[in-house]
Parts: sequence; C-alpha cells; structure tokens
Amino acid sequence: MRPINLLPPEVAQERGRRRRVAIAVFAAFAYVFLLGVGVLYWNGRVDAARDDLDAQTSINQSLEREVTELGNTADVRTQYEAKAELVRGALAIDVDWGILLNDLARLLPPRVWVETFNGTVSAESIPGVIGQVSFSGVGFDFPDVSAWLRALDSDQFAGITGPWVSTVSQGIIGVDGVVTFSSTAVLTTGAATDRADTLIPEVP
Amino acid sequence: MRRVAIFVLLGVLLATAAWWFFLISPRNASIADLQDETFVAVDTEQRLRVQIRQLQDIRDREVEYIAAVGQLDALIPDRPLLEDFIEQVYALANDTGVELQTLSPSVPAASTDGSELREIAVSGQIEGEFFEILGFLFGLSDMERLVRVDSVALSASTEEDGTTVLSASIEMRLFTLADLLPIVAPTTGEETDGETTNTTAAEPGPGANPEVEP
Repeated sequence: MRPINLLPPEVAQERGRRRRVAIAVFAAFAYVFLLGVGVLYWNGRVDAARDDLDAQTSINQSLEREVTELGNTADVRTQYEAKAELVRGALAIDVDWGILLNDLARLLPPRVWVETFNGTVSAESIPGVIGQVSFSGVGFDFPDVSAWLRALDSDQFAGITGPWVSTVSQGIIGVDGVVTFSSTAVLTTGAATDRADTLIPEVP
Repeated sequence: MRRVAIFVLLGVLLATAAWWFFLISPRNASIADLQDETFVAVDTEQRLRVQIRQLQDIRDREVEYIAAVGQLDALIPDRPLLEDFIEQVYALANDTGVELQTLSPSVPAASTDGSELREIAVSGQIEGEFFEILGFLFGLSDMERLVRVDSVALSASTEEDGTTVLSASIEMRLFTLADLLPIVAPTTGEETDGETTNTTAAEPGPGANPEVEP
C-alpha cells in the first residue's frame, strides 16, 4: 500500500537540506582525516628512512673502530712497500755485466778477440738507450771486422745495438799480419736486469 | 547546485594541492636526502669492509712482511756498514780467484733522484782470468747487500809466462739510508754574501751518529 505523507513539502525540503549538510560535513571530516592519515604515513616513511640511516651509521662506526684497531698492522706493509720502492729506485737501469760479457764471449767471431772493453750505464737520454760500450779488438783481416759487427748486431745479442767501428788499421803480431779496430755500440733496455723483482721478497 | 559542486570540487583540488606541496613534498625531500645519505653510508660500509679484509690479510701475514722488511734492510742497510762490505768483497775475490787490487769507497752522498737513499760510490780494481772476473761480477749481483755496477772496463795483458790476464776496473754503487756524519745546519737567518744557504738536502739520515762532529 502506498504511504501517504500529510506533512507540508517544506518539512521534506528542510530534512533533505539537513541530510545534505550532514553528508557534506561528514565528507569534509573524512577528507581532512584522509589528509591527516597521509601526513602520518609520510611521517612514518621519513622516520623509517632516518632509522635506516642511523642503523647504517651505527654499522659504519663499528667498522671504523675495527679499522682503527687494525690500523697499526698496516704500518708493517707501508714500511715494506717504502723499502721495496727504494730498492726499485736503486736498481733503475741496472745492467748485469756478467751476462753481457758472457754473451759477448759466446758470440765473438772465431777470428776476432777483444783487448779492451769499456761499458758504462748512463741516464736514459734516448728512449731505449741505457748506456754505451766501447771495444778495441784484433782480427786477422778486414772481413773479420765485418763479422764482428754482424755478431754485435745479431738478434742473439739483445742488449747491444748500433755497433760501429771507428778505425781499422793493419798491424803485425809476431810474423802474422792482423787488423786492429776500435768499436762502439749502445746498450739497450735488453741489457737491463729485472733484479729488483728478484730481490724484493714477494709477500702473497 | 551544480555551481556549488564545481566550487567544492575546486576547493578539494586546491586543498589537496596545498596539502601535497606544503606537507608532503618537504617530507619526500627529506626521505630522498636520507636515502642518499644511506646510499653513501652503504658505500662507506663496503669500503670499510674491504679495508678491514685487507688489514686482516696484512695481520695474518705480518710475520712474512717482517721477514721481507728484514731482507730489504739487508739490501739497503740503515748504516753504511762499509766494514762488512769490504769483508764480503774480499771473500768474494778469494772465492772467485780474482786478485783484489784496489777498493776506493767514497763517503755516502745524497741520491740524485731526491729519495732518502744515500749512495756510496766504490771504485774497484781486480785482476784475473775472464771467467774469474765473470764470477766476481755475478757474485756482486748475488751479494746480500745491494750492489749495482755502473761501469766495467777490461783490458787484457800478457804475463811473462805467456798467459793472458785481464785487469778490470769496476765502478759500483752501494746504498744506505744514513750520512756518514751529521751535517750541522746553519742557524736561522745566517747568510753568506747576501745569499741564504740551503740545507734542505743536507739533513742527517736516521742512522747518523750525532756524537761525531766533523
């Protein structure tokens, strides 16, 4: 059965207006509440980020204390590295003359002998050149001097390059005719040793 | 009614925007800053952990490092120890069969490379056969003390009995960390002919004897 409302229509309008106002007030409170919840949520995120940072800072402080406690042990390594560096500096451009002279004796042509040898290490003014050697020698004839130059310039003699003969002159030893010559060459980095690497004890 | 709804909607949008810009954005900025600082701190933690591992490794190998430093000290001693060197060279000459004729050590001088090294230039004259001299040169390289040979001059001569003998002139360098004598630094402001004396390179080394006066 259909309900019959005998109240004047103004009453119904007033009720409707009150209901809308109530809804609006409720919505406004809900809206402000949501904004407040949002602020609280973001405050929580800030606090969480700050806690993370504090925790990380605490870990780092603990590790720094450990580093400080272990700091003295690094001194011995620093000392080792400093002394090793001194040895490397002292052996910069070091030539193993024993090996050089041994190679020279091994590669000497059969009809040539050396009477004087002079070798000097000097500062590396030209890249790859670390010194100079000079010889005076004797051969039986001029081709022997050529053989001497070829021997010095051969690949087997890595430490010497640029051989040159400045004078060759005929002479006599006893009853045999000979040629005497003066020769020079430069020492290359091939003659340098790696003695520093050998002498510096390796600590794995 | 519709106009009111539009105004309300606009008001809500404005309030939300204000809420975002005035309340949330500063917090987001703080979070970003804190996260950046945390990332930096995490990097620092990694670096510290690597450093600790290295230091622990050094601590575990401390004995080996001390032994190595001892060997390096023997190569370049704190004091000139010329007496030991002369004995060692004499023994080497006897072992290799060469005749040690002269040995001329100079006093320690500062290294030209600007390091704390002091160099002792030594000239030596020996005589012997080729392989004896070779043995002597190899022996110098193998000495417990660091000896570097800068120059070798050989000349052959024939003895009365017909044997060939080589005479070798060797320029060597030893190294140490101390001057022989302490260098007395001039008093502050001392000048000679209007020029201030520079004593920077003439400071005594760690092993110099302070009681010996020149």
